[in-house]
Amino acid sequence: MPVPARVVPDSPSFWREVASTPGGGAIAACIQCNTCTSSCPIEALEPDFRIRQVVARVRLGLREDVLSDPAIWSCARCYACVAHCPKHVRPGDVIEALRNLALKEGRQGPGPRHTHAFVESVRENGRIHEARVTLDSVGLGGLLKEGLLPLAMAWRGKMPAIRRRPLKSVKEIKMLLDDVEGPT
Amino acid sequence: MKYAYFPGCVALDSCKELDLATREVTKDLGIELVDLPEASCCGAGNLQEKNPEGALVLNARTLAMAQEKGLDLLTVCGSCQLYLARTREELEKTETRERVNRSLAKAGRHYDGGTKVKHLLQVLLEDVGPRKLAAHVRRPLGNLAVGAFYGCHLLRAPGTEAFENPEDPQGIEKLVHLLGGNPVTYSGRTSCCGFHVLTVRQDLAVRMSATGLVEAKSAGAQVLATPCPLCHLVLDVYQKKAAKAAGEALNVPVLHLSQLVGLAFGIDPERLGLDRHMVSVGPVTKALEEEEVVKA
Repeated sequence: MPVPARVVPDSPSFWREVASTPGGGAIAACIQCNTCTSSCPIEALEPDFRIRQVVARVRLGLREDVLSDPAIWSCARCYACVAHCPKHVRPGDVIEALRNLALKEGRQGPGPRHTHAFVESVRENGRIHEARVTLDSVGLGGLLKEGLLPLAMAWRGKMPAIRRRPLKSVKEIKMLLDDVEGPT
Repeated sequence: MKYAYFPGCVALDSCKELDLATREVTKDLGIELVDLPEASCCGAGNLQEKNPEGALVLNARTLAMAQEKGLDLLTVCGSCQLYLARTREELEKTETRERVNRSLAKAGRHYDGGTKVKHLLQVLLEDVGPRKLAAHVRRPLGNLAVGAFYGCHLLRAPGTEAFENPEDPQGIEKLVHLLGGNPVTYSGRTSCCGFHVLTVRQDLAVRMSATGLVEAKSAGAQVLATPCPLCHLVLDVYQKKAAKAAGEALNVPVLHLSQLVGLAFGIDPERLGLDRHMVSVGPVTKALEEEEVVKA
């Protein structure tokens, strides 16, 4: 996808910011060889997501353009790009760094919504309460769109538990998470 | 043989059959599983992107729990394997381990490094080994055409390269051979199921899983075996949608690795949770019924 004409570099040092965020450390080594995009299973399906271009946009300083782009939430974390990058840039981990920065700024959308739902579940239960994470991620509307699927799952005994089952040590989990990040 | 068992979240919730089958199979093999009832979620990438240090600390906590028992960790999920193995690798750096230990100390815990994180596939192939595994087969898979679906995360986990070539894995095929079966190879066996975009971009996940399923089906696979419950969830629960996206009927049952092993061991399908699938496993058990019983 070509960079839209009106996008302007708003943060020339953006790449440094990404480089100092966990996952983004090796971004300076990228030689734009496109191995990552060629390895990416999303590439064939989603014209808005080109992993090489995401890295290029970061280095061009297009901070707002990148962090506001819903496409950074389309990565399926398959890490094929991480395995194949000849310069060990770990492009998939760069996505993780970008998501981290977007979340810190409180950016909204289906991607951040899911991450929040997941992390909240870990804080509240120590592990994932699947039913709740799904509901909080897609909303009641999203769930209703599934039609009879939840019923069919219940019929097959594949329905995740409705009631949450927190670990006994959930306070310890919360304390450890908040200790390194601060309360969310 | 004894391991600290880390089933992960999904094997205790929507994929309980994976936990059931794993306990059955390990019992049969005389492997003792020591539960870690207070172990947390591995973070699955979500916690890592929100709170990377927190994810490191929680996974270090799990490794510390295994270490307290003097055991290596056994996982049955590709994502758990990846994120725990990544943590393990990170914590081999003294500086990182000391930093993380300062956090763990607040919970009265400590991790010294060195705990191994092994997926069930590695344990079966290396620790149990071919001879013992083959000796436990009471109902060989015979002519059942089994396709492997590796999933990305097991192949990308640090340490996997010690027993598997991530670009051309052979472990599941080897296992199917040992179980007296007939592995089917197809290019989609290392494709991505799309699980980690399922809630955000279901359309992508469905199309991604459809690709793998169609390739498996056209290669003649009657059933798929996966080492990851997240792959199982997409391939099984969303298979009707994948069929719609692909424009063809699929009906490919997707077994957890433990279930496939359990079937070959002659364990009762009900005890392996085979009724807890969206795509009926009936044709598979029926095909196996026709195979000869080798020994009681």
